[in-house]
Amino acid sequence: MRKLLELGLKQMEKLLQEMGETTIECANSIEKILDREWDNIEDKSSKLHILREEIIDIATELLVRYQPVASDLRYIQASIDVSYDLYRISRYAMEIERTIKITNPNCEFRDVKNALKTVNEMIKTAVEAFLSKDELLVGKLIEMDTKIDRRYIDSIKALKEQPDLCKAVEALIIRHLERISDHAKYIGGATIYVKNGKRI
Amino acid sequence: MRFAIETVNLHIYYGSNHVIKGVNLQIPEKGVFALMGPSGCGKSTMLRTFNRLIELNEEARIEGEVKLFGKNIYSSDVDPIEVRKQVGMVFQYPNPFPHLTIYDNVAIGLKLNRLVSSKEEMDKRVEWALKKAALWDEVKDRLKDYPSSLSGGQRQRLVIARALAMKPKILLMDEPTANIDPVGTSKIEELLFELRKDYTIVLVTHSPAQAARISNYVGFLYSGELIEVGPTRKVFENPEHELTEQYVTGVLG
Repeated sequence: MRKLLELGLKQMEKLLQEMGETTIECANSIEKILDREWDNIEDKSSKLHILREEIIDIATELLVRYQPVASDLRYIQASIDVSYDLYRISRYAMEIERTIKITNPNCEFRDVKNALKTVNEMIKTAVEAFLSKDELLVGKLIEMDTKIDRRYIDSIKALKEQPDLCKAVEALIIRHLERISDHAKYIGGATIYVKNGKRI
Repeated sequence: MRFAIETVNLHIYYGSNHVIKGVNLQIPEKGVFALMGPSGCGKSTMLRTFNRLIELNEEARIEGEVKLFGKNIYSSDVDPIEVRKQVGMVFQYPNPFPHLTIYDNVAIGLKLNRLVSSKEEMDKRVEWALKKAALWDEVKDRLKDYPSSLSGGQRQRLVIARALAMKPKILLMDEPTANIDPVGTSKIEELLFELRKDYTIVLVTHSPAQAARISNYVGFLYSGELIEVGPTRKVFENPEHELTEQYVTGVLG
């Protein structure tokens, strides 16, 4: 029985790993898009949607068949949440792509690029934290999230001071990055929950 | 808080074998308290101290205290028969008296202890107990039949009705569904779910899944030591002790 449950958990882990890699690809695509190298984030997001459904199917089956408890139960609950976070990150990346395509601004995007660097690191850190159940990395995520929150506020202030297309698009993109950062932080929270049962 | 059952530094020995090792346990009133643990960990032994049934084993020696509603039942002034009147017990194998009818199985304890004063009162109490044990609708037209005509699950509910008829405050159940099919098991579990509103039920089970389904509190016993006690949701979602984690997840045999 235990072995059968473990096989299912391993399968979920593999799918989450694939979701993590695909989400990181989405984040890398944003960088290219800022330099007008078009990428197809929508396809990646669709892939993530399918992978998430597979995770939910396996999770449901494991719950029905084995009634897992304790750390097994927490891992399954958290995996469902994490799969949602990863999928949402890809949707925000898609939104950024769409914003650039529609507005097609001729801007430097220096602040966006700086924020994106932090956000990309957050996604990698979040995926690594969850897969390796490393709660030490969660502290880093929280620090980086605070930094992104500040950047978002700054972008709104900059827009107020100089309300032009570049500032507006920048504020909108950083707003999406701020949401991505939140989801990365939630993945950190899920890591803590799996590890010691505490919800943060 | 007043506890239905409380053990204080409880040690039990069978000859030189130290079976229960200094257990301090508090079981709140009303609700199902599941005592779980692997085979041979001392669950059934511990249960048998709560109604002094353990004393029927000549080799058993008890140290420490077991209090029911604050009173130490091992005090020299306590009559074990009186203790057993307020503590009903249900065993692994359904054990109705085969030579008595369904009605008489429920009535026997009342008769022997002269707890009712008339036939009408007896009828009422038997009906009440059978209803309480969720068996009345299935047997009301055949109260004069013998238990051999009942399924395993029905027999076990008959035994529960027999115990309830005595109006105990506490029900001890030693793996009551271990020999019952899944349908019978789920009926008994539903019954316990209902009974827990009015009674303190101590359920010994080797099945963590069963403990998770029906108990309010759970205690994990391992090698005679009480490893962890807590609300069921907490113990099954986030156990404090590594051994509990291993047991409920099936790593520990």
